[in-house]
Amino acid sequence: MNLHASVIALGLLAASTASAQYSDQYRRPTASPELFALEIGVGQYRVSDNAAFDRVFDDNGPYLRLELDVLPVRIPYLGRMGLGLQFGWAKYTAMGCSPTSSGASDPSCSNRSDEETRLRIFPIAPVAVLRIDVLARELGIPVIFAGKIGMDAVIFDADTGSRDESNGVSLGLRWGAQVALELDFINPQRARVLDDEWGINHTMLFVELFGSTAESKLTLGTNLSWLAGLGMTF
Amino acid sequence: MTMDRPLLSLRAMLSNHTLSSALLLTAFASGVFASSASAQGNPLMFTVSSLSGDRDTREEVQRGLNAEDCENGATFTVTAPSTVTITVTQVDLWVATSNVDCSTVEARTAVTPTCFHAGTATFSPTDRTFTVALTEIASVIPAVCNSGSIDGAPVYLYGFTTGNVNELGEVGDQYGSVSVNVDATPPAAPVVSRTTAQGDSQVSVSWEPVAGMRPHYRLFVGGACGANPDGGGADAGTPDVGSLTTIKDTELNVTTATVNPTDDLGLETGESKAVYVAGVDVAGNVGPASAAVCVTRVAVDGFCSVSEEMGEPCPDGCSIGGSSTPSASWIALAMVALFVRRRTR
Repeated sequence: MNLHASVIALGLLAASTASAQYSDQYRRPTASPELFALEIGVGQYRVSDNAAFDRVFDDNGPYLRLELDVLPVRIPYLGRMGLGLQFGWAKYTAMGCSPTSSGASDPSCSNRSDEETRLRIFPIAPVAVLRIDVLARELGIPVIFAGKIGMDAVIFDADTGSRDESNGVSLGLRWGAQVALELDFINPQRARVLDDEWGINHTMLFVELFGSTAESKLTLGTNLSWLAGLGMTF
Repeated sequence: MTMDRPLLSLRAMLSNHTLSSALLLTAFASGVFASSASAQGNPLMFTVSSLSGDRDTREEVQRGLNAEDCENGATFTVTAPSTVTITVTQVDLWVATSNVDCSTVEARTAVTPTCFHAGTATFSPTDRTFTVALTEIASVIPAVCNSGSIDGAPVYLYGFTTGNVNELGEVGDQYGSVSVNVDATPPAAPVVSRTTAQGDSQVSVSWEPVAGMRPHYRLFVGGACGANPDGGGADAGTPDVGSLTTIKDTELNVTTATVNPTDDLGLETGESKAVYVAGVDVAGNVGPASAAVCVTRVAVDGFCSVSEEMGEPCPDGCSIGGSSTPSASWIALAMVALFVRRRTR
């Protein structure tokens, strides 16, 4: 949450130093249509409410995600709305649990073998997206808020050593709350050139908090995880 | 000692030398061509086309001759291209350990000659080849098989077609040359990172790289932990690799490998066996074995096993539904869709 607050503060600070004409550039009659958003980010996906996961894995796994949004609806004085598709990947590894000295199974996993156990998840989520850009467009404050909600399909694959243990798909609800700092104020002229030559309207740094209730087959949801990365609208 | 299956690489050298008829073999090994070791001339454009023995066929492993070749008297075949004319069936062989021109009279007849006569070889006009035995070279230059060089020392071989040497010892233009790297020095023993490993279907064995060479490594299995397979008893010392059974070879420069206690070692749960690692250089020399890694087969509970023990077994296959949560997802999506639709009207 500290990071979240820091990004917001940074955005407001940047806005205060940006000139008031910032928002004017977005009203350029020659600006290209802004219909899509692309995000790529890295963060952590912490599986929640899964006791076996907590027992076996002691990391949060690197989480990578790519998201493409289609934003055809413009809501005046609010922002853009549309649909998006998220593709994610996370991997968790740990040494498998050894039985106790008496040979009995040890669910507490206090003894570790030298054999690796792995869990890979591939969350795929179609989501509805609302990008609130009124601050940037109307007030010149380059901060965008976004909310996302949709279905989460977490494809998973677990193996230990050379043995495949399980694979399948867990379904659930996915949500996300994002704050982004538009980078155009750093060099508005270059931002306009980027739009004129490449059709990229805005670039941004974002931080997103998200959650998932994917648990239909295996509890692989997350109460609260985070992601940060780079995005653009075009 | 178990032999590798090395692959030869070679380079023939051209020259505009106008003297006699000689053959110079240049089979550069050790992964890269020993470009600095070019022979003086090769008008007949001889190349080394094959080495005897069980060679490594992986393209990235290029080699010459090794200690075992010295011991067993390996041979190599020299080929002349069809673009040059050779009318005789005998080739006079001369060898040198430095890059001197053996076609000169001085190199062969000086008080302290730098080239040595290594007998003759029969040239086959049909496939345009002749075969040279390493023992012939070692008989006149024994040091080639005592090389202390890790990457091997080049041996320069000249072949003069017979009848092309006049009474003064001068050689005509019917000669060729090649060189062969002979590496009789095995790599040092790797140092394993840990000496025990426990697992059921896959355990990792890792070791420090052996300095000064471009090796791959070979994993062996011995007997029970603590026993020396070539000496017996409870000696945990390093055994001769010849007494061990090969498990697998790694790729070049890889310093970790996985071993399956069940399939590779044939262990039952609770049993142990010693695993060893040895370096294999590009010439195919197999170094001494490392210290033993005692691999014990134990039952291993992975994520799904633990999950099952804790009351949530992992499923197999895809699922749709299964709880009320997906329904909530669809309801949420439907509400958003309705909202969007209303806004766009």
